[in-house]
Amino acid sequence: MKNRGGVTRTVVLLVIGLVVALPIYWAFVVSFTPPAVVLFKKPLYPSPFTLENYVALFAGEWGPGSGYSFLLPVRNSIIVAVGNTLLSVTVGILAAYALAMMQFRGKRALSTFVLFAYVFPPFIIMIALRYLITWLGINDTLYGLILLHCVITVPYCTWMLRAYFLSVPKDIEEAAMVDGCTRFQALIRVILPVTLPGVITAATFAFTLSWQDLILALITLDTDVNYTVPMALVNMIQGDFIQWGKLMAGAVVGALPPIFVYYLLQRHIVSGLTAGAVKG
Amino acid sequence: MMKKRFEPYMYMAPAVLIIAFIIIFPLIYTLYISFASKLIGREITSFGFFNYAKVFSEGRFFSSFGKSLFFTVISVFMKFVIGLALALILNRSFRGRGLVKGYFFLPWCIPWFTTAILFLWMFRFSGGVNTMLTRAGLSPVFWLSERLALVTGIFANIWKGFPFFMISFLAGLQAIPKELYEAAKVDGAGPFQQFLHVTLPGLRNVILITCTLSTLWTFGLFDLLYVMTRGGPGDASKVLPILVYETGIRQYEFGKAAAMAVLTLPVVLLLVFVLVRLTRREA
Repeated sequence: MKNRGGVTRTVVLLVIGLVVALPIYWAFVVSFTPPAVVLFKKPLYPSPFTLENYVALFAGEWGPGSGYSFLLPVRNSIIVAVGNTLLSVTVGILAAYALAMMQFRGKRALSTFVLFAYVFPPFIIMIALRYLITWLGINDTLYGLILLHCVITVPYCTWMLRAYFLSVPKDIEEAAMVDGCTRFQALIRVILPVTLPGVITAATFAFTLSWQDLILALITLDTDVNYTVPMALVNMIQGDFIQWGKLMAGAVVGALPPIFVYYLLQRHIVSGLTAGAVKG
Repeated sequence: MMKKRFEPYMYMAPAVLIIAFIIIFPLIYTLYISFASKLIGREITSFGFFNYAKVFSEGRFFSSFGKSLFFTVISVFMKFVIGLALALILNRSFRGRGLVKGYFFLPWCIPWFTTAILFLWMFRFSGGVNTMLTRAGLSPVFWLSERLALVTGIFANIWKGFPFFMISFLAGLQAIPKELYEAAKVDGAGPFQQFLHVTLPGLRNVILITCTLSTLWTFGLFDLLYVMTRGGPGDASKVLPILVYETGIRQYEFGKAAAMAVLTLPVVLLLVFVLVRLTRREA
């Protein structure tokens, strides 16, 4: 009886494990095999093994007639994601500090306001956002995209950091203020060092949310000089002829930063996920 | 003294102003243009319900709405089932458990655009799945055809989304006191009865919040299907976010796209309301 349960569990793990692995395995096959071989021989493993797709992506052009290496969208994505992360984490820390540690009128309403913003799907306001950045004159710029990514990251950082700050004992802050610290000094010198894992987790999430956004980038950016990684990849999928080797190489490269930071911070991520999203 | 009273609001101000400026103001503006006859390059000449009339007369919006609901309900349900099953399995201790957990976490770390490209390769006609099928002597399938494109998209969505459920449920399971299981065992409850009377009630809030959150995210998901199919073939996988994008940004029918967004708003607000209530109860 006990054994049968064990067998069922192993089978479930193996089947789901296989389904998880297959698409990832194929990405390696396609990106490490010469394009012509993939197209005509349909191999099940990379033979002959080659780096030519990756080399072509970075040394040549990423898209048909674009004239730019894939380094350009990578650079743009880094600028946008880093800029947006700095902005939203700073703003988020300040607001979360107030929401978690201060008493004031309208606090409950403001918490709900932030939660509402956090879960609100951006596609509803897509048209108005296009108007907004055009009106501000920052459409088709990386600044515009840094601002629009705040739609996702500012409420997220605020909400998640609020949960983190709530777990800090109130006495720590009070002790600091008794010692003559102002509120702001207490935040910088006492609260932030204690909640550093939370701040790093929030920054990681903000970075990856910004890194992988497509819909806001589609609204903001028009010329290929400004394309971010997802924009460049979408533009490689045009019509019937797709350069699969390069596309898959780009998809793999684009996935590396998020995978890297998530695994580096895995322990914190799990608590960050549940603290920010589930435990409210 | 004055300064102390206003201090909290000064800390809140940057976040509140940014959210007001890029979410609330655009939301109100969306409402406004949904009633306006604004075409590109022309000033607003009149106000009325004509955008809504157009949306209702075309019927395309409602078929998209149906596809969005189908996509969301099936995806969330399957993510829930797989996530819960894995969480229950991984909640026992066995050798290599951490490794297995880390492995199943992987799809969640992969960005949407990469997920979409992986599955586009897997399910295109001369792609991975059909290559394996033909090697095995079976006949290939048109996975991205009119009939199957949406279902294929659902499959990709489940693949990427189940780890979130798994991790939430694992955290929830670990918060259930062990004594409850002991007490249930003493009362003669078998494994299934323990699941029914201890595990499920203990997970109730986590399940409700995770499912509501995922429903909102899945309903608003644009990237996956846009990259895989652009909503096609025809309108086969044209879920609401893609329809609004196509109508408003590609075809410059701002008013009509805004009207579609406004008509979707009640569903979104209802879900947000449920989530806020659930979160309050938890807090």
